[in-house]
Amino acid sequence: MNMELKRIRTEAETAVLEAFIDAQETLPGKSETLSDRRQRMALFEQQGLPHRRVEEWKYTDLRTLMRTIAPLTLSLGEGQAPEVDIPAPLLEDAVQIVIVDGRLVRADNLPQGVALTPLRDALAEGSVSLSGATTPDRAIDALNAAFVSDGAALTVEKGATVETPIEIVSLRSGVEAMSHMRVEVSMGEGASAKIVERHISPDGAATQSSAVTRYAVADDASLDLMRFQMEGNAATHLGETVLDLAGKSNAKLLHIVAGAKLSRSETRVTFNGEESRLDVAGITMVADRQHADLTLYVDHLVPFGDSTETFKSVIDDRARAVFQGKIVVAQDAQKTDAQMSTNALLLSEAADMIAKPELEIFADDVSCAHGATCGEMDEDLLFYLLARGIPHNEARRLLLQAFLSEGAELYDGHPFQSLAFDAIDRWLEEHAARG
Amino acid sequence: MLEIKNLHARIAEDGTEILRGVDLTIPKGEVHAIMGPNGSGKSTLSYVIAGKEDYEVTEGEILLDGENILEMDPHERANAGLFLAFQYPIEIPGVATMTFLRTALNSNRKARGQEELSTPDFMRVVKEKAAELNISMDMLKRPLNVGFSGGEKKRNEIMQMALLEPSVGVLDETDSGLDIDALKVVADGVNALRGADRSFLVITHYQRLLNHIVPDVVHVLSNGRIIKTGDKDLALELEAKGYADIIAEAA
Repeated sequence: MNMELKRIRTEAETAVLEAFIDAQETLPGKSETLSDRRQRMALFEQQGLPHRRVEEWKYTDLRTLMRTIAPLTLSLGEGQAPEVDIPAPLLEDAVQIVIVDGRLVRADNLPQGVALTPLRDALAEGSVSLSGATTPDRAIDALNAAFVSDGAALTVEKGATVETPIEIVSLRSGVEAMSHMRVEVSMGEGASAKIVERHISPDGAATQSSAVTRYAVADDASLDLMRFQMEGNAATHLGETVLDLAGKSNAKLLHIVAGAKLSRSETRVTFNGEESRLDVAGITMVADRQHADLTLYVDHLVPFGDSTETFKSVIDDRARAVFQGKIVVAQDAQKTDAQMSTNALLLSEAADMIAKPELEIFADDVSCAHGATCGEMDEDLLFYLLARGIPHNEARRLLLQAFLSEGAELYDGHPFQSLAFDAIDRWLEEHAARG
Repeated sequence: MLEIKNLHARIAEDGTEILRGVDLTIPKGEVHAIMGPNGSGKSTLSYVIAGKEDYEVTEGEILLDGENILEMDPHERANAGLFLAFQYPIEIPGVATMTFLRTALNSNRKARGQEELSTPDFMRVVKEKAAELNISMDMLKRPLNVGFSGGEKKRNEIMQMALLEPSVGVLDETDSGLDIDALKVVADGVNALRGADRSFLVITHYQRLLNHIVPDVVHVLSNGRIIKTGDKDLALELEAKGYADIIAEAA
C-alpha cells in the first residue's frame, strides 16, 4: 500500500504562510536576502510549527500551544508608529537602543567605539545575511529570518573597552500582532562590552514576537550579557540568543525569565577558538499558567574551553518550566571543562518542572558533569527560621531569595548582580509572599 | 516558666507514639536537665515544644508563662518567648547570617510591639553578643552556619539565644560534637543568660555538660515518660551506673 500522508496545517501555520506570501516583496533586502527568506519559509511550509515529535520541542509543542497567529506588524514605516512609554534604563548610566514592535525607533548616543546600523539598512545593503540552518529544531531562527524587517547591527571596535552599559529594549506596543526583531552584534578583537536585553510587553495583550540576538565575540574579547524576558501575561515570546566565541574570549550570560504566557528562550553557544570561557545562568520564576522553556546548546568544538551552566527555577500555581541543556564536546575539544546544574523548587502541587540535561562527549580527556534536582522547599530549613520567630511568608521569601540568588553568582559584585536581585525581589514580592 | 502536663505525642507520618505522658514544670529562674538513653524521646520533646509539624500531640498541654502554646505556630511560640537551641543547627546557603539575625530579631520585636532596631543599634548588639561567644565578624559575614565547625554552630545558637532573650530556653544536646574548650564557651554563654526571669531545659546524654551548666533539677526520661527526678547528684549517679538500674527500678 502506498499512501501519501498529507499533513493538515493548523490555522496558525496557514496564517504564517499567507502572511509571508503577502509580505515577502515588501521586506527589506536584495534578491539574495529574499531567496534566503524563501528558503527558510520553504522549510516551514514542509514542517510547520515545531511539535512534540521534534525531539528538541517535545516539551514545548508550539503546534498545540500556538493555535493562532496574530497578523504581522509590518514595521516598514508606513502607518503610524504606535505611542508607547519607553521605560528608563535599568542601570542609570546605560544607553538605550529601543525597538518597538520589531522596528528600531530610537538609539541614544552610543559610547565611543560602538556603531549602530539599523537592521533594515543593513539588510538593504546586504551586509547582514539571513541564511541559516534548515533543521526543524531551528524554528525560531527560521521564522524570524523569514519575516524580520528591522532591529540593529552593532559593532564594537577592536580593542574598545566600553564601560557604559548598552540596553537593548525590545518592546511591544500592545497591538495584538506578531513582530520580529533581530540584533547582530559584532565585537572586535580584545573589545569588551556590557549589554542588557529587555524583552517586554504590556499585561493583557496577546502579542507574539520573535527575537534573535547574535553575538560574535572575537579573539580576546569579553562580553557581559544579561537578558530579561519580562513579557506581559498574555504574550508569546520566542527568543534565540547566539554566542559565537573565538579564541581566549570570555562571555557571560544571565537569563531572567519571569514573563509571557508562553515562552521559549534558546541559547546557542559555539566555542570556535581555544581557551575561551563561558558562564551562562538562568533564573526562572513562573506562576499562574505560564509556560517557560529555557533551552541551551553549548558546543565545545575546540580544546581548552571552560563553561559553567547554572539554572535555578521556582514554579508556582499551575505553571510549567522546561530546562533543556545540551553540552556537546567534540572529539578535538580535549581538556574541556563543562559543569552544568539545574535546580528547581516547586511551590505548588500542580506546578511542573521538566529538566533535560544532556552531555555528549566525543573527546576522552575532559572534565564534564551535570546535575539536576527538583523538589519542594526544605521543611527543615523552613522550621529553623520559624523557630527563630520569623513568620512563614518571610521565611519562605528568605529561602527562595537565597536559592534564586545563586543563579546570579556569575555576576558577583557586578552591577548586573543587583539587577538580578531586584528582579528576584520584585517577583517574590508579588508571588511567593502570598503563599 | 514552662509547664508540660500529661504530654502525649506521636510521629505524624506513621503514628508511632514517642511521648507517653510527660509531666514537667520548670519554674522561673530554674535550670532543669533531662537525661535519658537513646530513643527515650528527648529530642522529640524539644521539637514538640517548638512546634515541629512532624509530630502530633494527642493529649496534654504545654504552657509557656501560663499560656497554652500548642495551638501556636512555631514562629508565634518563638515570639512568645521560647527558644530552641538545635542539636544540629541547619546550614542555609545564600542566607547571610547577619540578614537572618536581623530578620529574626526584628520579627521578635515586632511581635512584642517594639520598634525595629536601626542598623547601627543592631550592629552594636550583635557585636557585643558575638564577642562574648568568641564569634568573629568574619563568621557573621558567611551564609548561615555554612562552613561552620560543630563548635561554631553551637556558639552561634547560643548567640541567637542571647539576642532574642527568651523566657524559656530549650537546649537540645548542645554538648554533642563539642570539645572541652568549646563546651566551656557554650556553657559560659548559657550561664550568663541564667536569671530570675528565665528558665532552661537542658537535654543531654552525658553528665559532663552538667558540670558546667549546673542544674537545679535532673529528670530521667525513658520510653516517653519521666521515670525519676532528683537533684544534680542524680546525674552523677547515672554517669556512674548507667540507665539500666533506674529503668529496671521504675518498671
